[in-house]
Amino acid sequence: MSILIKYSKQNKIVKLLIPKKSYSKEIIIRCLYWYLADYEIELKESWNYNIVIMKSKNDKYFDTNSFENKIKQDLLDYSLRQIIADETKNIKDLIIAKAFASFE
Amino acid sequence: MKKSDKHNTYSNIAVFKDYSLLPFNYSQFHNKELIVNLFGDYLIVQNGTVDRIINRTLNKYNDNDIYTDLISNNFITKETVPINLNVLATRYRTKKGLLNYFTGLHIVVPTLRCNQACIYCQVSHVSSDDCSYDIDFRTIDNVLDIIFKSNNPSITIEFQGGEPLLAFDKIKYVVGRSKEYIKNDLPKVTFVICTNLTLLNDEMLNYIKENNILISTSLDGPKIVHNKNRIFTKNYSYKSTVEKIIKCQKVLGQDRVSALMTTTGYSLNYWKEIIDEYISLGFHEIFLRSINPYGFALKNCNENLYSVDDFIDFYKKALDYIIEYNQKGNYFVEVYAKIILSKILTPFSNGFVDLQSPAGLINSVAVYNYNGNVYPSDEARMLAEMGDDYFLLGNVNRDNYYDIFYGSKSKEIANTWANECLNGCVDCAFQTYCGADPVRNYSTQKDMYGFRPTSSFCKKNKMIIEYLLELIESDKKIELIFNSWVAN
Repeated sequence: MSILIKYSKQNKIVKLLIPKKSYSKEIIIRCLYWYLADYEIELKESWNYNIVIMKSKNDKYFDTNSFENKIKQDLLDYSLRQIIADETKNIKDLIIAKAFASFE
Repeated sequence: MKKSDKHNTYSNIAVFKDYSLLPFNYSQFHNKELIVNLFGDYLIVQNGTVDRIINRTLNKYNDNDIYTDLISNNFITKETVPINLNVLATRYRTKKGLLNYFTGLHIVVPTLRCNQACIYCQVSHVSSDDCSYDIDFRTIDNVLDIIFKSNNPSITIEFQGGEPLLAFDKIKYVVGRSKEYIKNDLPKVTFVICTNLTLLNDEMLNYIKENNILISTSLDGPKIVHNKNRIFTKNYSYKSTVEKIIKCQKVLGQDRVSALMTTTGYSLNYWKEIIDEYISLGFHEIFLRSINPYGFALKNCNENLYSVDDFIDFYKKALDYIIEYNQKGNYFVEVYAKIILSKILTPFSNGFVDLQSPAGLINSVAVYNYNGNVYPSDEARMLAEMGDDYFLLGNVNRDNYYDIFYGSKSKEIANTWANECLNGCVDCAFQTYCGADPVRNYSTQKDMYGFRPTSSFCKKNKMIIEYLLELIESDKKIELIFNSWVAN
């Protein structure tokens, strides 16, 4: 399922419908953290989607092409980062524990 | 292609499940991907490589080069638990070497009095006549009792102010009494005086030489820049400073005198002249420091206010000029670059307290104010001088070592001093090369935790780290120059 993007108010507000099966809420929040400097963000849920409503703090309109490319890339990046974090959690804990245990 | 338990096949691509991931972060880097692991090793790979690594579409036969690089640089491992686990643990411990011992740098403020009025003064100094802002001997005794409870075998006592030479008798008392704490040559104690040098006389200089004290002074650049920033009587700040630098170098030795500059709005156009000034005085390094948002620096906004982008523009031009100078066979180092490069190019940590994780606060540095108040960094003290005692750890005349260093305020700071645990930093490819600064976060964003998207600390460090990596990748000769910097 793909992300649905809808613009309103002369492209000053954007609504993203992000399928829950594609991206978890945690991934979305970590991704959107970096957008908080420039956008007011509201996060909601429906049965199948996490819904993100964004409005530019400078009351600017969205450059639709560049915005869509960027947010899709960012969500994918954070999704990959989550996979890395999940897969490496145990080995990371082991390395750190061993690192500091050696000098007890 | 045979099916086996090790891999599945579909189409013509074999999905190999014969490697496990090791911890790493990544980011987009100029149409490629930068990946950096827990130990500071990095690779710059083609776009889409991270996706292939994770989804196991990397083919170790057809992608042998990248597969070998990933194995040898500890991004993936053939085993579920890597056979070099002990080596990896040792490497991680080495990267966090700053935790081997506790506080090593102890900044003592013998007086807040000063005879200059620098436009970016972070301390909000007081008149040179007002002795009520001098440390008393009882407080010094208690300060030394606290300092020498640290388990660090190498202690640095650094005198800052105000202008410390205005209380030279107190400096002598500290140096003299410190010797009582040294047993069998431990701890090794180094003294540094941070001074504008204007009050230095022959008697002081002889004492400094006899006691192997290092001198650190401020030199903002050539006369036109230095005098604009550092106001002294009759505009003689530059002349007096340079004369004294030369004298100190002659009497103490070139390597016993260092200078620091501060970049003000006025300095931004003089990057070449500032570097040339340092070279002409025989210095082999310069620390291109941006202005810190404390004290008079905040009050004098017009002279001091500039954007991170403006500073980075200045920094890149200056760094390029320094590299060019090195390429002509000379040796001259930019110190902040060296600090970051040591994290990129070597397995070691370094002692720079402002770019550590856990932060250098308390772990590496403590500040003892003239009145006995203890702060986790000099910047925290500066906040206190501006009326905000948020970071006060305790007072040497009232509290014991454990109350000060392990009290509730220390514990509160500890919650935010590791960038491994901060939003924004936790996923950042530059995490291993960067640090955490709760005091800076509090000062600029009113919250120790900080907000990375608008953090000037974050933006500045990202831009500099990125630029250094670009330079390393662009020219092997520059990488050689950088290696010579970190080797010394």
